[in-house]
Amino acid sequence: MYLVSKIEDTVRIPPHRFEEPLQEVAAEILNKNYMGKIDKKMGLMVTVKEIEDIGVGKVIMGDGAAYHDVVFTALFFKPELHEIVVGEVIEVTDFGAFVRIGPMDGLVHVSQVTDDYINYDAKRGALLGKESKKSLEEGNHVRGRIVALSLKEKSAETKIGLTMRQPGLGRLEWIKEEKEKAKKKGKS
Amino acid sequence: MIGKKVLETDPISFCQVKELLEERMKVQELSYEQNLALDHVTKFSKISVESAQKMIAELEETIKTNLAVKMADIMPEDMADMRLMFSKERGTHKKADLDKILEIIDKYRE
Amino acid sequence: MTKSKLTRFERARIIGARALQLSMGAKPMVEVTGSLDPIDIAIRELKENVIPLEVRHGPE
Repeated sequence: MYLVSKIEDTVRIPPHRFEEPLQEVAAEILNKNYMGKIDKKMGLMVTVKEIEDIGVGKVIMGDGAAYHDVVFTALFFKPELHEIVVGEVIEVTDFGAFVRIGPMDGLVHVSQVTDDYINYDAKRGALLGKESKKSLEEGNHVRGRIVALSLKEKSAETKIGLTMRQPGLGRLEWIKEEKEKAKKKGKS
Repeated sequence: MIGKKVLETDPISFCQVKELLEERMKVQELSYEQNLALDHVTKFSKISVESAQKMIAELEETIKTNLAVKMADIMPEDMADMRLMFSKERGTHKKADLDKILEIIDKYRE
Repeated sequence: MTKSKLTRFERARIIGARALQLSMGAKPMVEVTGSLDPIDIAIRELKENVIPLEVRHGPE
């Protein structure tokens, strides 16, 4: 899920930007430095939210820039093991479906889509359940649980494994159907 | 490593993320990742920022903040959804407690 | 910034730092006439007491 963290740091303001408003320049530089970066503890940095406090600049040997101590808040996206997530299917392949769960994608392996036997229909680009007639295609909205997670410094190397093989998970339409079935059963 | 020291961390819900990124969009063009995030929260945020804040505040009295925020993102509809949300939480959860949480969520559903 | 109390070492450090800033694109605080050498400009800024730097002693 998304987190807002308050962070203590030092920001380097280069001399050619001394004339500009300090807070804005600091926010811009921090954004440039950290946007899209992944921290193992905090997750993927989405954006700087606010500069809360910025100290006086210090000049150090060998550099004309000003170094300011700064306290800022930033928005992070942090997937967590066992977390329930919702997302949109963005690509279907023979080995599973990629689900966009925020600024990162997760993979639902074919074996984790449903309890049913799954076939891949290359023409439609869809995963089809043999018995249940369930289908999963690009654009479908799904709910899943994170069951494997490896956060790496680079976004492309980060892998998120999802499962939809638990009650209450799957394509949103399937969940609805399941519920209606359960309701009918309860009544009869 | 981002920054020198992390002072505090708070979870925020989809709708708050949406608001924040929309503000950001007015100042600067969004990056690739920011666009992905905004697109996702636009599709999946289910309640308004005011409702979410009130609901999370109310839920925090009984459950952890993280879970309260997650409730605002997922908006569980019934007991089956509630059990899913709590299946990896420690401890036992009485049906009466879950009913109470669901009641609070129902108040803010849109 | 108190010009009169600077030691020669502090003067050297300040002029050095300021000249580096000017060379890296900081806007001069005096009108630039004659020499364009950042060191010359820094010296003139120091003379006119307009350098936006101050000497801090000790740790931090």
